[in-house]
Amino acid sequence: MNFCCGCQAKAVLDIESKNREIEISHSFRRNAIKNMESQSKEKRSKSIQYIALGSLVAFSTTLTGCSKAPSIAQNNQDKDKEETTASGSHFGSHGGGVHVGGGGGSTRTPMAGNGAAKPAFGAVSRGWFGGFRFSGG
Amino acid sequence: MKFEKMKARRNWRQRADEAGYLAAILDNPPYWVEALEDPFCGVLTMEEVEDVIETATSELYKMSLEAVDFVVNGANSERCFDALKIAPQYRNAIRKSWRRKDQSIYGRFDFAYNNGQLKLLELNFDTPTSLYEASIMQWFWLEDLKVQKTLPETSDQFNSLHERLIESFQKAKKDCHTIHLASVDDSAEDEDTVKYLQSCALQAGLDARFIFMNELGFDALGQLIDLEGNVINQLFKLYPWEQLMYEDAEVKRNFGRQIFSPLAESSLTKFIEPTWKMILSNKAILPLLWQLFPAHQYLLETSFDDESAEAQFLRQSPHVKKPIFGREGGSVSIVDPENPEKKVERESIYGNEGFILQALHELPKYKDYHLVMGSWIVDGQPAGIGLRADHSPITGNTAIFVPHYIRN
Repeated sequence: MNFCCGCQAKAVLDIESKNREIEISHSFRRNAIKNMESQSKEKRSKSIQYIALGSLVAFSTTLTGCSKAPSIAQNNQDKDKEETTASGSHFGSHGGGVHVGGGGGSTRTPMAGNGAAKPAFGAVSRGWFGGFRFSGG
Repeated sequence: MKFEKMKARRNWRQRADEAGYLAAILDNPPYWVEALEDPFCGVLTMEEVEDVIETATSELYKMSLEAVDFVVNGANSERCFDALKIAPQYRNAIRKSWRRKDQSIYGRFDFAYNNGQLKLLELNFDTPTSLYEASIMQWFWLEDLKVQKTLPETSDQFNSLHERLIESFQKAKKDCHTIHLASVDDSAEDEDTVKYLQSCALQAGLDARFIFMNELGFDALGQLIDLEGNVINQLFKLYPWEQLMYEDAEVKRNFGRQIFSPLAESSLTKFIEPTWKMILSNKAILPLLWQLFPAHQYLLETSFDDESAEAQFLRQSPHVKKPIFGREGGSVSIVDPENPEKKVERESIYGNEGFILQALHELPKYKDYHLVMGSWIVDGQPAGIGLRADHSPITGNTAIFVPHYIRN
């Protein structure tokens, strides 16, 4: 009896063991696949859609009521592979507007930092901030 | 990480011009590597990126947030703020900002990654730049080299900055549909960085408006006002909080009230980066991190520049002295006590608030360039890297941006 019981128990153990092996095997495969996926995962944005700085100026002048940015798409899939490089039409309009405008279409006025008189309190006072000569970090 | 010679693309100027960045990267001296006669790039393996850089960035960010919590909520909070040289009138604003979990968009760790060892040099979590170079310029650099067949199609890059930034700005939209983005008016690099972020905010669906810092106004109610008379409810500012602290004090002397501090405390205006970032953009966070996580594998031994035993110990070996508030390597010096005549120093205006000392960990070199690695955090996640090369071992604002690729 004991022996039989032991025999049955052994069979159960064998089955459990086999199942565990299968599970381990599956788990290993799952991990292996996961690792492969992880390894093949790109670390870089697949595509970039951005707005050229020159277009930002145009956008800022028509800001009120404008809900759509003049975005110029760059997409890997759409790229013209015949181009020697990936340049050109994907950017759309020419940048070149780096130093143009940018103040919501308003004219910039002399500020206190530039030596102008500081406006009296009561209305809107400007020129108290941004006087530190600084460039990024 | 290795470095290899790489021919400049024939049309790299056109590429930069199309995006609108040519003027900034040709600033004198130019700071895009293809402007050099002998351009080069960084080469990494996927294991380095995933197992070292990404892992370290995540872990250090978690540690940094724990340090912020220690400063804000710890038993020695006031002493910590004293050490960080943060004015008392800003402390409640910082505490509230942290407890409200005010949103942070981005930050950059600077690493020395040499011979497989990665060490944190400092954190740039308030006003980091070299962003569009990392996000856009190097992305298209790799794209072009793959199209040209100079690099294999399988080449990759640790750079998901652009899409992460847009995702992060989408979260900012939940609080307020409009955002103003401000930079100083005399730095093409800063202006372009802010305009790049404006473009990300626009793509996220925000009504994103650019303004120069000195155009910011305030009214009798203490509200920030733009040039068209609109109240600014959400402001991204590429401008140091500590400087605003001083300028706010000047406003108080003239008008009897501060502007930024009460707005930040009440959250009537949402600031990006938030005031709690003042803790992380401050070099005094480095000795605090060392005290909280002593001998951590990614940290360099650091102490305040005082008469403590730790400082005296550090002075016995080659070390770096950094101002508590400083930018662009200004007022940083490298000292070797055995060769004091070889002291390297970048003179600047910083240092009035004191200094910290950090054990020296040399940067990797390519020819006569020293290379520092900037590892970006966007919305709390590692999002990419950028390399900057400087002739000096102290990286300054004229350092050249060097793109990288992952060799698969």
